[in-house]
Amino acid sequence: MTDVCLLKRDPKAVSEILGYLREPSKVAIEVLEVDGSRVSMPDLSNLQEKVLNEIRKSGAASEEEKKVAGDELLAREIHAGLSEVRRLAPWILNDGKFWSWLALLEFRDYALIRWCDGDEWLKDSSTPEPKDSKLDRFIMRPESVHSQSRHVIRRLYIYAECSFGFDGTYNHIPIMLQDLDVPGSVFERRLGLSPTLALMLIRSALKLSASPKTSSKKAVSARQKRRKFMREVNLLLSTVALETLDEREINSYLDQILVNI
Amino acid sequence: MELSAFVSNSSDGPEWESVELNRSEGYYEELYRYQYKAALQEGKKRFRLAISSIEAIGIEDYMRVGGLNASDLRFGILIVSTSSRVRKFEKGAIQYDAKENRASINGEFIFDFEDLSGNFEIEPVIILMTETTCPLTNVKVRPGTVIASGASIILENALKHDNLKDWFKFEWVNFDASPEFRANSRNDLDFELDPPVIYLDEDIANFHHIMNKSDNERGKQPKAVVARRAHDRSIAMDVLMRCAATVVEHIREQVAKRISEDPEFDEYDDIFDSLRQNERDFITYYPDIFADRSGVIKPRELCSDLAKASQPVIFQMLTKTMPRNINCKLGASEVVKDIQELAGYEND
Repeated sequence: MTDVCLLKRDPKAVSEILGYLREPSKVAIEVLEVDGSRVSMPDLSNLQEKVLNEIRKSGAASEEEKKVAGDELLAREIHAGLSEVRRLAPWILNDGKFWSWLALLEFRDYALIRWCDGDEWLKDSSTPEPKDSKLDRFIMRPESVHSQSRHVIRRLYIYAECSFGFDGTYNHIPIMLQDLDVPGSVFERRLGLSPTLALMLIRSALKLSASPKTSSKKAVSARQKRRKFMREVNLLLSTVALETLDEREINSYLDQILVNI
Repeated sequence: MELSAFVSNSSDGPEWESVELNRSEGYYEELYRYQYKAALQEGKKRFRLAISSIEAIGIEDYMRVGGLNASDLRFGILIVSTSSRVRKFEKGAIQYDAKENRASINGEFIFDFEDLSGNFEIEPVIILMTETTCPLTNVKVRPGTVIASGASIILENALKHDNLKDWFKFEWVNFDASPEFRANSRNDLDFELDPPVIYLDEDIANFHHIMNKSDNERGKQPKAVVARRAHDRSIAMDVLMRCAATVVEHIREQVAKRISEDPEFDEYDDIFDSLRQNERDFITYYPDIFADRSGVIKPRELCSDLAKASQPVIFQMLTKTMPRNINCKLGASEVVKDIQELAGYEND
């Protein structure tokens, strides 16, 4: 078992993350205690190993497919593993110091492989550092859905939470990981805060595919279409409370928007 | 709609004590706030929001002409919290007396403080649950459409005081011996800290000491006092300007960051969430500083407008509108007076 910890200081800037990744021994942490007792979760080093095995597995799958397999496993396991935290200290899940502890220490190897092309740049100064937007994924700003949906670990927890909140299973995680652009565009908006709505949106957005160039029309990428779709749904939400409707009614609205994209 | 709020010391008992919701001025629609952090610190366990109608709620003709029943509508609150990742509808009750053509609503919504984390936005709404034709416009209206809404309420995980001066911590610093502070100035500000800190030069205290004279026998202020007040006012103005400019700058920085990640970025609704707590509070509490924005309904929209504004509009705002707003709209308000006091002898 692993005791749940937090960083002592909430990292706010990419420069701090860079420092912590270069010298992990300088990351000061504190153990979470609730009413004088520690809160624990299943062994995280073991979990990271299992996830890395998925990513490094030999076989016909592409690098991206292997990373997605690792993501799926981690999403499921981290959500299930945090059940005690949800029961005893749910507020910790909104604390950036907790998620930075996971990203910088407990899942450091996974995070580096997944978002920083490994740790070569930490060993060899001639290898360029990751972009700021990649390092920013180690920081979780609780009030920002954009930041939550991009965090190395928090985003996977959100996928699992959405699936679990929808019907009490993790069966919907694979569809969320089918095309990472889709959950990204849903969960970085406030419309992704409702599990039912988020899942309906993901399913609908996956129906949009790229249109090739024709003599009269320019080519349109799936991403562009999805962006338009999300914008239309956001517009709809200013007058319609989709949260009050059932799946059939939500789908009816979404299908109508899809037809016009 | 009438709003009342209560807190309770117990997790399930019937005892409740009434609390006041603070109204945010400067917005087109009514916006109320309740800071639950203080209640939590006092050992309160629950918050209850009671909403009811006392007069006609404005949808009666809609119902009469459209032949609608109460079962065709739903009353309740929409709850959104980004940090707690909540977006849901909680149901209240709606009644309609067709003979009297009178609709009424009521609902009680209870929140356990232990379940709250971050801010919660609450909007009372009446929603159409059946497809109909709007009797007023003849437009087809589909289920889920919000046909009426009431004052929004924000449950804040903050300890912000109504007086701006109480937001800040003040530190006296020798500016001449501290090159890390703003050059050629007698005050500096760190708006990123929580609480934000205003640094004042120790010379200000000396200045106050020298200039702290009583009014004369006829009640007229001596020149020294007038000078001191003018000096304090300029510090207050400077502090407010810098707070507002920091907010605008950070909004623009966030937009630039999003565009660098995605050149087609054009949705500004959640920029508000990317701001620091102090910045969100500043927009929420002092919208009047930013411009004449009587059409703005909510802080989120004000932030979105600032994010979308062109560079010349921002320049105009920072150089003309904002100083004028602080001077005119807030000139006589408590805000400036409070900072004057802080910069004044009360801090000696």
